[in-house]
Amino acid sequence: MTYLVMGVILIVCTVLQIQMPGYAVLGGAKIPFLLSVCLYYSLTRETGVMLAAAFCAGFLQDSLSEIPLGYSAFLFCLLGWAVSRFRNFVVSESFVTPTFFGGVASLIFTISIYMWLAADGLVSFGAGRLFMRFVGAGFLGMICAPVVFFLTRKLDQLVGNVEFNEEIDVFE
Amino acid sequence: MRNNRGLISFVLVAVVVLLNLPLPVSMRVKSSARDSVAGYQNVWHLLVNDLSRTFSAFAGAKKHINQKDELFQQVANLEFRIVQLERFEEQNAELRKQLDFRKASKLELVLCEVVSRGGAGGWWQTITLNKGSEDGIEQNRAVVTRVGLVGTTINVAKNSSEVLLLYDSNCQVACRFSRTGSLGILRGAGMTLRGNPEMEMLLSANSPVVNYVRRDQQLIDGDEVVTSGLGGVYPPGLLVGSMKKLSLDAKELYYCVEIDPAEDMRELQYVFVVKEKSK
Repeated sequence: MTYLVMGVILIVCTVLQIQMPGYAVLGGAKIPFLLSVCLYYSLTRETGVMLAAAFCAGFLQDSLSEIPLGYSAFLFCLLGWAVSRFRNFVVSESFVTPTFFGGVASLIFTISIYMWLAADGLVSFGAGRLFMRFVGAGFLGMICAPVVFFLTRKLDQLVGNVEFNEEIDVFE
Repeated sequence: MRNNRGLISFVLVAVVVLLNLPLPVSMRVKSSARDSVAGYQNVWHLLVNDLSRTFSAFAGAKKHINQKDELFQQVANLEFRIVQLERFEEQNAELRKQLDFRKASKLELVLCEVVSRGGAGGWWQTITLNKGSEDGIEQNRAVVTRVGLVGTTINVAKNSSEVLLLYDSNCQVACRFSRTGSLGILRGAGMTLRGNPEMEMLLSANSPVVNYVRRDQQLIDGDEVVTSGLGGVYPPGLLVGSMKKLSLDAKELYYCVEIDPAEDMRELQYVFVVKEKSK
């Protein structure tokens, strides 16, 4: 059932991420729905499931953009693993946790992928636009992650992956 | 625990494989993934766009009835013109045959609907179309509207294709000024944050620039720019835009000409992909 919920939420988030426009005032940043899914699984599930979610989310993001295959998948896995190190120290149900991790992870992801793409000569942004893009990515991550966390948790509760009054963290 | 370790190893191996896939295989994998998502994308597009269109159609029913009558009239006129043009085409073919001319290139337009804008990453200025290789669309084909050039196809899956817009800095088009015949290379200039940028990225684009235009050319505001056909991607004669501003490049060797694109890409709903007519 965990993988079924993961599949559904990945499809929904993929379509949303493609359809929502990039925002010019935020340097063209897109709402990071797929990264938020990866963060949800890294803060609530064991490493294997988290890596599977991160890989699928990254693979979808790469496939549906001009980013070479594997770049986002690799970075999502890396970020997911790094965030999962904090799993035992934070309360994933709290609103603050996804807001904080969403903002930080989105910022780090955007900086890393830009450096990677720029090194390959695929993109080249001016300093102003790049700055706005980084700020925008962090800001959108802070807004998007709590929403994705809330909806995925509700879906998990609905199908019985998680009890309504139970904490979802599965400690290894 | 053992299962978990197996899954971790599998994902790590998959990431390494993905990063090292040869380009043709990588393109094929991407195409398959795009095709898998294309259906959901179309459903979303149908839900959001078509429903809003349906509501607006109800709201302006009387206007649409009048429009329908006008369109009937137009169709009748166009059908009459097609009959005339077919006769001219036959005549033209006969004359070409008699004069032993090389056969004129035959191009065909494939009508496509824009289903999304900007891709999943937001790093490039692209749009996604609802048709792909199954409809005869190939990579590196010109994408036009009734007004002028829009961009070029870059990734083509079975049922969807991605178009790089003229505004993107990776888009380059060999073009020509119709009045003077001077050649140049048009390049997108990305988006702007100056002035009053629109919320959506694709609406806030800088004007594309034609570089490498010889300095001895007498260009005037409003001069039409069309594709030159050099390079083979774009057929010659497609309208790109008109001259807006003239300046010299950094080394003062050539003119840089800012262009006002013929097509306003803010409201793109339908576009045509240019393909070669199948025999």
